[in-house]
Amino acid sequence: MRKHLGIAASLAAAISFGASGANAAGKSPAEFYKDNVVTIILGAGPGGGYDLYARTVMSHLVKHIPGKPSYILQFMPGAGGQKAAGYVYNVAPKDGLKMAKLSNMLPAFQLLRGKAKYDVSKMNYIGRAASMQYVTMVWHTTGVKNLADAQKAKTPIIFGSSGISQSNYIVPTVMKNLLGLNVKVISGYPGTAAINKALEQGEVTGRAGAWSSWLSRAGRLIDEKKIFAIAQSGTEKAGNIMDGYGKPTPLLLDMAKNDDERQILRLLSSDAAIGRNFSVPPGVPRDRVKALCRAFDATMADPAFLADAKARKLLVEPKTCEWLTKTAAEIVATPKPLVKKAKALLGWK
Amino acid sequence: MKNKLMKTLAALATIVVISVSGQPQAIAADMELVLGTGSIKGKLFSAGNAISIASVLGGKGVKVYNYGTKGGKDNIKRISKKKRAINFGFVTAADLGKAKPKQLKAIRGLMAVGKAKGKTVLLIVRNKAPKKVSKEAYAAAVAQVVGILKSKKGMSRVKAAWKGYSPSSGAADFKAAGVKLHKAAIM
Repeated sequence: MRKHLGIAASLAAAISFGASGANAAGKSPAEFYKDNVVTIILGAGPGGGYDLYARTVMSHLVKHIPGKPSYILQFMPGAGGQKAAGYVYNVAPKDGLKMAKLSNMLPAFQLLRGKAKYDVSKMNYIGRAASMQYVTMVWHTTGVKNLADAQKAKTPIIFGSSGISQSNYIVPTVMKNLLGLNVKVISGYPGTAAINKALEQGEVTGRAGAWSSWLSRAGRLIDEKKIFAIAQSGTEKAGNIMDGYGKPTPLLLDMAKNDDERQILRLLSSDAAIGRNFSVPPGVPRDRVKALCRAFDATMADPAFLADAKARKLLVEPKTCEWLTKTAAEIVATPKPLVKKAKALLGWK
Repeated sequence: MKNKLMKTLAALATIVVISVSGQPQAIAADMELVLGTGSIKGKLFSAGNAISIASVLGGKGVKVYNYGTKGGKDNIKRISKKKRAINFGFVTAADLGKAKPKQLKAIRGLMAVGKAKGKTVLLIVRNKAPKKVSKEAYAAAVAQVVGILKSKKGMSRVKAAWKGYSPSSGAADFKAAGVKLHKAAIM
């Protein structure tokens, strides 16, 4: 019986090898992509950070893909990027012509919200252009200049948020419920610009936002010392984000008191690590995925791309497809009881 | 004397060449425009994809990107927005009938693209040029997109995605809704 199983396994392996070999022999990635058009699907509308990163990366990436294809963008916003993820995962052709720049929140959503129509651990990642390190900023009139000040604050710091599934809600809520900070979160602002306006008008006294967004949209407030960074969330500490006393801000992940808290914080900070990621759906031929991964790596080191990114004030903190695949798999493997605790922490049902 | 005349003629010819080639340069400049289609499950979204690909393969510098919106009313809203506006949108005459006068002012009619669910689908365009783009260059880009939509290759590509595609004027519908026609509109 075992012998039969072994033969069957060998046959299956031979067939699968034959299939991928035939694919590689039939049409190399260069032949396939030549004169073809790659569509990059964005889980957001035009004009924002998704759009800007996608346009900047794609305009250089296609030069490094064998066969030098053309590219177009396709906007598919909705449900915090889950609509696009569902489409890419289930409907989009698996030929390597449909790429995606999906929400960095998807791994967390998959575990915390449930009923996901995708599995981020099965996506074929191409690479990450930048992290989305979230930085908690507090308005100067509160007298809070670092995390220690915030922990002693008697008056609550009021954070503006655009919705309970957004990082600008998750980060302050974690600070309140896990670290015991005196914090209130007001949801319902239409977006970052509105929260920044509310900050300047004294309606709120804090906001958690992507570091890149702080730099591009509110750099003036940082320069004028109107706001101070008190903490950063993510899986890796960025050494260049200073608090109001000129010292590096702590990473929320490092504040965990035990392993369970660390895993919960890692799950809730996963969006920072996944960052500005690019992927193709599962089922795309391996040689094409490999070609796209290497093209992405070459793009991230391309001086023309780096100059373009600098001109557009875009952070570039690249990671390979292998790193991204491993990270997504680790996040999805968070034990269920801890996922339950994380949901309770956020007040999600 | 003959030499002088020849030199003058050569200079004149150079000016003519420069002024003629000056126009396509504005058109050929890379421009990325966004078309609001409708639900990602609908035929118009597929048609939008086909238009998008046709614009790239057309290879004249203008790219049209497809945007899965909530439909005609949403497209009118997005075209007339001050920030992050889209450039093109599919609508029906009924959608235009419900639009506010301020929204109608912001749009121009281009053409009728066919019928979906028994209703004529119209293509509208934002009147205002995107930031840092001149009026002339924008108008030329819009004309280029209309050209692609009327071209044999463009038509067959869009028809393959949406059988209902059959470009025509649509002027009567635009007139009835109080929408002005764009210079590049199909008459």
